[in-house]
Amino acid sequence: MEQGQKTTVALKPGIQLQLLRYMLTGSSPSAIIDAMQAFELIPSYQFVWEKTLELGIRIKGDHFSQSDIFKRLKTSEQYKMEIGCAEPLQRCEANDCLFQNPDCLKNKLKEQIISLYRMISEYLGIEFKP
Amino acid sequence: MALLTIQKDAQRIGEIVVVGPSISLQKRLITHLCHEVILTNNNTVFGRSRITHELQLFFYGIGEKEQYQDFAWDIVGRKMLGYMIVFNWYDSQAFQETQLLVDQLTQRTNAHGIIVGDVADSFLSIHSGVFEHGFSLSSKLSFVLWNSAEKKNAKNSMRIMLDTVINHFD
Repeated sequence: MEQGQKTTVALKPGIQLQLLRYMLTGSSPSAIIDAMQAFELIPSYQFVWEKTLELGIRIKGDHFSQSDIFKRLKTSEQYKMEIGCAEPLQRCEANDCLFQNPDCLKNKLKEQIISLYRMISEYLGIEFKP
Repeated sequence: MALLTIQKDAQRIGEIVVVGPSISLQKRLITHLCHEVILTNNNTVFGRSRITHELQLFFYGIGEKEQYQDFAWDIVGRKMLGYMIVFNWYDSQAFQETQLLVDQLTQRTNAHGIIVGDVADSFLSIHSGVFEHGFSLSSKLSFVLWNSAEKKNAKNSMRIMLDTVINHFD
């Protein structure tokens, strides 16, 4: 993908199925994430986020709150501080560094996705295998 | 494709194609869904489920994957009600084949579909309430786990697929 192209791509259903299988078996998605390009990680993160919400609501019902998820995720501000990034915060929040620094974006989203997988395993009451 | 006799008063037919790496699972799924099943000697399975006298569902299990390339997706895909991809959830090889199959099918047809993972082979540590409503992969594609040892589960898969069809009604 080149700069100027659409930054969102549709995730292939085969990949969605793989991500779902890892979720339901408590497996780490690291291998599949490492094999992805940064631009593919954006819809992957979106997909995992949606499934985390879906599973949280199904399992915890009224006791589930979206803020439970936010509390466990690193904020863009925290991530930027950790890596010593001087770019504006909004760029990080909007994943605007896709073309300038795809590796950084990939690291950020990978970390978030793994955190979501840990939460899903907790919801499901299964062991997460990192 | 209409190998089963259509009664004069049964004018409404929904056709569903069943595919997947395992022919025996295709057969089992169709058998669980239909009151009338025909097994052919070339590994294809035909089943009929009568909803009312006027409405019937026809299921076509099209056998081994070698037959998928020759299957008339461009013709059948336009008029079929949907497709079901069935595989053994615990079989890694079957899972990889299913991944390829679903990617191919979503490119070849715009029909509604459901991927059905059979969990009868082993104990599943997840509570069934978590997955009984299936998981949406897109507005036209869902995934559900199915215990092929229990007949009622197959109807649940069918119900989820039909729900996505109904959600697209104008």
